[in-house]
Amino acid sequence: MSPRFARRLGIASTGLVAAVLCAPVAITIAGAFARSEWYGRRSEGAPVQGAAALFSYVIEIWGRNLLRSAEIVAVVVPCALLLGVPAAYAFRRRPFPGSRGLEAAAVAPLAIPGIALAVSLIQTAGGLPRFALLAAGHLVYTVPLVIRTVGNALEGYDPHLEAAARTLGAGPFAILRRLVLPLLGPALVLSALLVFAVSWGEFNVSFLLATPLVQTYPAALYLTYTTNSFPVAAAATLVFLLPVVPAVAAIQGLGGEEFHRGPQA
Amino acid sequence: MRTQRRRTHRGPGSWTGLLLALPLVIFLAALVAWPLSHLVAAAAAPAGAGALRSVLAAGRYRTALVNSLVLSLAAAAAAVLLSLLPAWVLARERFVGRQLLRAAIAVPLTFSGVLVGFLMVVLLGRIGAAAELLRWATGSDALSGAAYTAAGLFLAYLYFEVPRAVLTLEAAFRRYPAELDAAARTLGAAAVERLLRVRLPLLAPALRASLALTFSASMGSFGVALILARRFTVAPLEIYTELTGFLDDAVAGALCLLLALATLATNQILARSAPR
Amino acid sequence: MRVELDEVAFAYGGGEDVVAGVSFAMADGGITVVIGPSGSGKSTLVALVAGLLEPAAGRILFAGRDIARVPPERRGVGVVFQSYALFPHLSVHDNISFGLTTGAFGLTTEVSGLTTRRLRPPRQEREARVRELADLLGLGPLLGRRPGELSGGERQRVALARALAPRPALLLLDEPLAALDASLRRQLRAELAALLSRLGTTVLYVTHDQEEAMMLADHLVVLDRGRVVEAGAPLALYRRPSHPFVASFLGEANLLAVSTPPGGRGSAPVLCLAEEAGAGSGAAAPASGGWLLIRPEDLVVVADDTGTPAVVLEVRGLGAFDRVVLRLADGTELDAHLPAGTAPAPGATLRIAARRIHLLPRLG
Repeated sequence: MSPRFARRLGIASTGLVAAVLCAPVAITIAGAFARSEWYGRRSEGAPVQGAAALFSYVIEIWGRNLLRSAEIVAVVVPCALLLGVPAAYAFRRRPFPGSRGLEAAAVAPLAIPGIALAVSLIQTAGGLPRFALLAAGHLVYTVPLVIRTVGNALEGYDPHLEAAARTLGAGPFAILRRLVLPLLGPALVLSALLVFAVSWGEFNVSFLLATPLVQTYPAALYLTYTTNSFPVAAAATLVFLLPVVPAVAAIQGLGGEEFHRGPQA
Repeated sequence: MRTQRRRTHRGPGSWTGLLLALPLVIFLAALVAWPLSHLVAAAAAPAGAGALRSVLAAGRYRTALVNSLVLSLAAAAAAVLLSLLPAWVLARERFVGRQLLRAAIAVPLTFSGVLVGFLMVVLLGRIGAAAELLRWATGSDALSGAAYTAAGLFLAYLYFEVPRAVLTLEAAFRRYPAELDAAARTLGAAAVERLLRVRLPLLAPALRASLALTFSASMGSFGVALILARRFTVAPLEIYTELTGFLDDAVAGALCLLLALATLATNQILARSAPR
Repeated sequence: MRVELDEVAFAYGGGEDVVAGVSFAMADGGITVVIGPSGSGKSTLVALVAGLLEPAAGRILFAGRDIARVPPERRGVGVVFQSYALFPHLSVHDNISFGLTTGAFGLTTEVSGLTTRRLRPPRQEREARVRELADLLGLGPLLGRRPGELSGGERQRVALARALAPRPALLLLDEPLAALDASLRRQLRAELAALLSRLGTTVLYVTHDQEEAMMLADHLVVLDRGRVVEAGAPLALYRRPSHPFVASFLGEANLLAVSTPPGGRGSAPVLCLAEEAGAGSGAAAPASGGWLLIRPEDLVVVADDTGTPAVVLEVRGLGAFDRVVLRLADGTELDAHLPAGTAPAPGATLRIAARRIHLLPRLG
């Protein structure tokens, strides 16, 4: 087998994997825009006619869930950064006795099934407001991503830069404002995007922790998959995907480290 | 590197470090350590011990746990095998459309389980696209409803695991020094020998880490089973049923504990000596 | 084994030629050093001879046979990589014996008659060879260690032992000392020179370091932007280069343009220097003009008034000699290396002469 042929075969099979992964998404998107008869006999038809009407129907029935997801994301993204960034900085630049163990402990929850954590949270902290509980559940699975991403970025730059800044007369706040934050800029943006992508798609923890009446959008997807017709389900899926695709593109553009940890399925 | 960093930053920095990490310590203690230790404590109490015994005894619960374990291991192994070539190509080859392929493989990472389950129904449900295609081509109904079988669940697991495996392996493959291959070649090693004696031993930690990651993802997978598991059950689904249907907190707690322990233990075995 | 490169060319992915029509020959058992600045195509040349890259054009002859399309695993060439490329998962012992244990799948065959290498020798023979190389390079106590536990100099020796183990007919070394610090480099340079000349293997050695090149080479090839600028014996290239690039790249040089204006013979003081050196006024002004090469160590102070007057601008005592910047009457500045402690203070006027000069014709 010539190297050139092997190379083409490799690229072709990678393309095949990507195509298989995208096929059901493409069919779903097509389904949102096709007339209900197109899909065949089970579909009882969209309750309204036309794509514009279909989407406004989706917003009408799941608008509250969209809003809830937006609220969660708006709280979780800054909180995850506030918890994760100083800790990552401490682990890499100001290590203290036990900081290695703490870092491992902070990342360990990624391997714990979300449903197990949700159950244990209900059993112990069930008295908290549900929204706070929900945000806490999301934070457990997003803070590790921030710690990892910012930690990797910190390893990527010379630890003596801060010493250099100090010899040039910079105090701690000047170092933070003029050195650390600008250098970590891309990592902070990447962290925020990762937290957003994970939190936006999170289902396992949210489904159990949220009150049944006000659920996040992925939970609405579950309801729509089990109760609505295919075009409605497809349109709802498309609404879910709309912010995800640009976020993924941006994450890829920034290198996409730690992205493979995604939300639990 | 590490020792040097420690030497230069030890001392007065320690307190600053602890202070910076304090919010995280409180957060982890209150929302991870305490709830999880409660699971253990509850299982040790008389009611919990009884629940634990009933879960471990032969029956639906144990079957669900074993199903989860077997399915997750099989799907993780298959996903890593399938991902080897795409990950190598994305890491090592430069071609037009590479970024697009990478993005296309990465997008499913953000899909929650219910969405993956739905996509499986779209392909392999009773009137799924692939099922209909087969019916149109051969008249066979073999794929109709395949999404709801154990095989359908396995494929769904593959669907969300392959992207994870591709991205972890790609990162490892990119770090792999290609000159080692070159060195082995000049020393007379043919392709098979290079693979077995240089590449595999050097990439083994990355392969194990990738297996551990995909395995954990499958073990916790709840949304997929919620949509697809009709003739088949897995542990997360049983936990949900106990909580909402039978309202048996003790059994749910015991199941959670066993699921978490099984995941963490297998994860440890797989990722042993894996870098980070 | 005699090795010849014949109009070898290579370009990465449709870009400009990195190696553009390179031809030279390596004598059997000789040490050929290719020297050039970074980006001159040296490493690419090594990869081409090793077979890691396939030339776009040209022939590479091993003992008269074109092997340009033979894959590296069949060439029987030993390579010491710039980064050493030691297998991090194998001990020093297993790194060295790696090349003695390959070919297990019957896929590797020798280029018949070209190498003295034996395929997969029996165990005792293998162990004896590893032991022999460990003794030769002083690696005995390190055989059980992993590359990660070795110092830079130790790694360099392991890489050399690994490349030598299968008794290659041709040994390629790609900047093998570049990763080491200066004092270690100087020490290993001498050891390497002694070892390579003792081994009697045909060697292609690539470097950007001029001292290394002069010390090791039987035959020196100067490479610039993918082309051979000049090749020859190292001292001849140093003293009598025919290309200004070679003159200034090999060591320090005063290169003075000698033009032939319609009525003149060029700068008077410079020509005076040349005449002092016995070059003769006729030779000093070639028909098309050119460059006059004066090495700083060839400028000497003369006691009588026969020399050319020069003003001292700058003096730096470097221990071994004094580095002096001089200015001639016409404004030409020259670097001179005077015996340590003999240079007068800046501002003084000296009379100088050149012990040796060389004239380069203007090219193109």
